[in-house]
Amino acid sequence: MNKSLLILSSNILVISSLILLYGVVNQEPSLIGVSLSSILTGLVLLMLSFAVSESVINSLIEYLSLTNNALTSVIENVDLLESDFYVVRVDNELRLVMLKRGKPEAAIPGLGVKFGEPYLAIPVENVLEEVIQVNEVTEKVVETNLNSILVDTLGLCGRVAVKLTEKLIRVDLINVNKVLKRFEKMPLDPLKTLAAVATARLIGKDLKLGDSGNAVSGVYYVFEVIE
Amino acid sequence: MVGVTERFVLLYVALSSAFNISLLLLSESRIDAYVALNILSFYVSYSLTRPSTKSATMVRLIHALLLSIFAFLVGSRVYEVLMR
Repeated sequence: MNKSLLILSSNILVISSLILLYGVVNQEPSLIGVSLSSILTGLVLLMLSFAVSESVINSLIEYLSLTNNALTSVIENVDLLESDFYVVRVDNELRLVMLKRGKPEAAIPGLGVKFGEPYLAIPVENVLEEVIQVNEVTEKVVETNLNSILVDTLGLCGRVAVKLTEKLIRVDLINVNKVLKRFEKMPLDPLKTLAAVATARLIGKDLKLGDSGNAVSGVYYVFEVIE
Repeated sequence: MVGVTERFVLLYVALSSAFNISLLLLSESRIDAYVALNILSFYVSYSLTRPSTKSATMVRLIHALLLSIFAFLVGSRVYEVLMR
């Protein structure tokens, strides 16, 4: 649903209905004609608001399905389904690392084996580049910034709530975008990945996903801060 | 960047407003002329911009609604001429 189109069409419908009323009361056929034509415009835009989507979004969704299928197959093949999920800065580059045991340091991008354990490291230095580290890491500052990035810019969800303790950050994504819900169960789903990268960039520290799950009106992720 | 949907809305609203203003300035009192030209402006804008849609049913519903209104308007005019 396109909200701006819905608001626009509702406004057109209300105003043109008032004009129609005025036209009928004062017996003005031209005014009735204009208002009926405007009502039709409002009606078409109202119906269209439930049907339109940008074509580029459709192609990106299909491409996301494809890349997710490829990554899921790789993750399954190297037995990383039950692995730990990290966002770490290695060699001055931010990386997503999935591994079962051990520490994510010195994880070279791609698939690798360290101390006999497979890992998958994905460079994310060019993901959410515009997010800069905050000066003061408080609950309010992190929440405001995450709302600005994940809600206003990326449209991941309707609202973000943050709870901060010394070593843990709980990020709640409320009213998750329906388009992204189908990727929720994937090992590298966009919600988890983008929330983790944005949080790591904001606080300027490495993170490990400690817990995640479904809340009443969305999903939550608990990140452990790695000092 | 203006998306396809925004382009369609801009063109449709601009065309229908232009038609309405022209008819008003011509003191046109036939109500069906306003509605018919609005439907025409929808089809012109739609064919020029082709907004991408995710619900084909809703688009079919819009086409059905507009075509039936247009058919009714044309039909009533033809009937009027025949009955003279």
